[in-house]
Amino acid sequence: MAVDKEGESRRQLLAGFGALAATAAASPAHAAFPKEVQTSGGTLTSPLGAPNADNRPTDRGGFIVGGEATFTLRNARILVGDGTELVGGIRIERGEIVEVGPGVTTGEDLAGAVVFPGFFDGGSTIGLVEIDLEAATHDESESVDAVVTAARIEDAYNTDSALIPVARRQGVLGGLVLPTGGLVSGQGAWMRFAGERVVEATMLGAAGLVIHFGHGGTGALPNQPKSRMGVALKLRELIEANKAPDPPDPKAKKKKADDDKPEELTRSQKAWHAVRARELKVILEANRADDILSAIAFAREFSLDAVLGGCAEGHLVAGDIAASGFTVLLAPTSTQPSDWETLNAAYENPARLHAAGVRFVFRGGGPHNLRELPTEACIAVANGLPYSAAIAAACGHNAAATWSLPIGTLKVGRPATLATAEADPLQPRTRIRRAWIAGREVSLRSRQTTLFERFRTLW
Amino acid sequence: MPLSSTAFAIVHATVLTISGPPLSDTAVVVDGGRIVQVGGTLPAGVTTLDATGQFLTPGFIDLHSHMGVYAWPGGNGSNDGNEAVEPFTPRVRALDSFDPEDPAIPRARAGGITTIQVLPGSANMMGGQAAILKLRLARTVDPMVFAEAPRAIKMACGENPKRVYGNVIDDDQVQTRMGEIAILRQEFLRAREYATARASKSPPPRDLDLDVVADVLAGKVRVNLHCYRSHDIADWFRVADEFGFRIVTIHHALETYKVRDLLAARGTGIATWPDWWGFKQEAFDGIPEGAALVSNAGVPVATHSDSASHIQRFNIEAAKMVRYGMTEADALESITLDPARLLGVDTYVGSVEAGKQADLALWDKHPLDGTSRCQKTWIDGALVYDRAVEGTPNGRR
Repeated sequence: MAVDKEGESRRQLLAGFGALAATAAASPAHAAFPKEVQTSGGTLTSPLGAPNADNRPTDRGGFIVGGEATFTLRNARILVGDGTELVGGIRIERGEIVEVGPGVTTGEDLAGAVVFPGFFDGGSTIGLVEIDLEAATHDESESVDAVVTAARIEDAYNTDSALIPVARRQGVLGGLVLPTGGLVSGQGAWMRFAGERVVEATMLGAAGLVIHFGHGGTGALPNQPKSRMGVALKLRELIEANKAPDPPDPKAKKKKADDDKPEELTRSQKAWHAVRARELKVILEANRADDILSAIAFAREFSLDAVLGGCAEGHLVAGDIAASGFTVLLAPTSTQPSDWETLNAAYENPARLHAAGVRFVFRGGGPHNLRELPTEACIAVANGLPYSAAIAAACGHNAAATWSLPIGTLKVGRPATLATAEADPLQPRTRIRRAWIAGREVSLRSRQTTLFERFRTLW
Repeated sequence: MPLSSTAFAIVHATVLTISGPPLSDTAVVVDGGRIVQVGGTLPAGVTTLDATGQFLTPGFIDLHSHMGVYAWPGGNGSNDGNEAVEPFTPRVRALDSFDPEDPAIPRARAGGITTIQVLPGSANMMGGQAAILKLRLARTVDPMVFAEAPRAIKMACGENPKRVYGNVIDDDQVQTRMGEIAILRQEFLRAREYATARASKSPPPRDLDLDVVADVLAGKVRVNLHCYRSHDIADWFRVADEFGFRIVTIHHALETYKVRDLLAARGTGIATWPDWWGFKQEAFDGIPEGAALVSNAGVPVATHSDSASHIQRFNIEAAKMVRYGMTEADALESITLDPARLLGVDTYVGSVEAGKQADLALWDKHPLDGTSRCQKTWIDGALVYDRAVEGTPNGRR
């Protein structure tokens, strides 16, 4: 039996290990681990390669002081964002792209480095949470009731969060920030990852009302469904109870003056009316294949302007998703067969959805590690997704097509929101060199680079 | 799946030996479960596998896995990693919780993983004994045991034990870091006295807990310490120095870059992520360059996953180490030879060298390329994953 064998060979080895331990205790450090010692901390270069190694002053929102940027870059590989690539340069005047392509032959020589639109994340709680296990830093879940309709993340978003510069440093320049919890969580917003004031950081408010299908919608909050039956029932009741009022009937007889006052609607009612009028999107989170179908059916039944979130098992119903025309917010690898709603999660999910004609926006690794977004996209490429589709899903192009955002495509007339990378920005070894948001250069320094500089050599 | 133990040769691959420089267009001959030859003339008549354009690496080693003790899909039924009944439970063994049917395991094999250290969770200060396993194809855990590996134990400090036990007002529990250190001293003191008494003429009855702690004091059990903060590390080194035991590996280790000289002086290594941080206060000062700073100070650095998902893409975790300042050689070593050293199995695995056990992974591109994928994995010379046959491992429960 193997366990006996284990015991046997371990007994033989233990004498050796005991001797090794004794040696290590008695003699200088590396008897056990021969390796070159560089106690100074070695020759590690700053994580901020030139030109961001400088200490250019920034405002509290992370913008480098100096206003709207005017500059020209040449000899670059340009990922336009829509899936096409160019070799050439890009010219920015007063924060706006004025020329892109092979015609740009002046300016800073990038020697083949990459210019791309930056990365934009399809859903996280960044700015709403600082430390997972510290309750005082949490604002992502209102949760006073299973249904929180009118709450908006802009009222909680912390532009000073240490997480934002960490994302920015890896070229993640913005993202969809979503509330969580309950059956209906509240309204998300597209945020840019710079700016001292929330208004400055907001790309698009009221970007969608978050609704959870499947087990995610059930729970113990007041009025919360306990099963999928209840989720479907409660959502239908909510929608039907908030039907927009009929237009006034001209033939109706004149009422008393007091009745002419329009009925005061609550903020929640107004939000539901906006949903029913397709003025406010719904973001329907669903992972199990049948939950995805339920979400699509719900949106169709009430003609809602919907976006799907999650879709770990989307590849099983790719045709239905494609037929719906709904954009999907997709996490390529954070969905594994790790819980009962994602048993059929597959590495080929992005590739299969793309092949079926589904438009999707990638999600990264949660608020602390949105910098995993390019890696997630890279893994989708490794598993069959065309590179051009990965760029469109990770760099804001598909998000812009769904929400009409000023990001995701490097073309003339757009505000300069872009980044440069030393090589293919999806590759996990690649570093970001510089980045600009809405026409202004942003710092790539963060709390983490400050700690690095503080402990780069020991004192 | 063929489990051939007949001799074969992988030919024309670029071999990333880890123990030496990469070797282009080199044959690796496997026989009897071992690597018998790297380079040179092929033995007559040996079966060959043409790996032109591909890259051969040692199988990867993850020092921090909870596969099998938190088997997928997660839930009450499979939460078997934390015996959170009291802060010191050295008596329990991860081996006794391990479920070899965890669908994460074949997915890890398909990422070139061949050896894992399965650890109990970090609720307890001494949470139980590690299971060091090879990911051999097996229906029970026993044939997976890495028989040559020294014994190892999981310990933990800082926020987790005081969070788990801090809500209970009870004399046996712990509320603060100073309380944790006091428990640590008390338990090691008891074990020292127990060991003395056991060697006496009238020994006390055996105690499963104290047996293990006494063996830690005797240097027979490798200590894996879950620890983040630099001040926790200093505190634990003080106690370890006082009692004369050695902390072999600090896990997670996010602030070790601040006290890397203390680790270098003791030959203590680390097992860490390239970029996780911020999930609790003690993880808030984690920086992605930390591992490179610690590595450059001469400390063995293992990239670990602590995730049944990230373990499947261990090559990419190593590639991120390069982004954050490690050399490519050190990054590859952090998923092969350095974890082998920290487990005490570097004479058996961790590099492509004649005489070592034939734990190998074959890649279509350089494994630090994020679009590379493992094509084949061998353990003891047996093919345990073949992408040509199995495709992408999307297995479920």
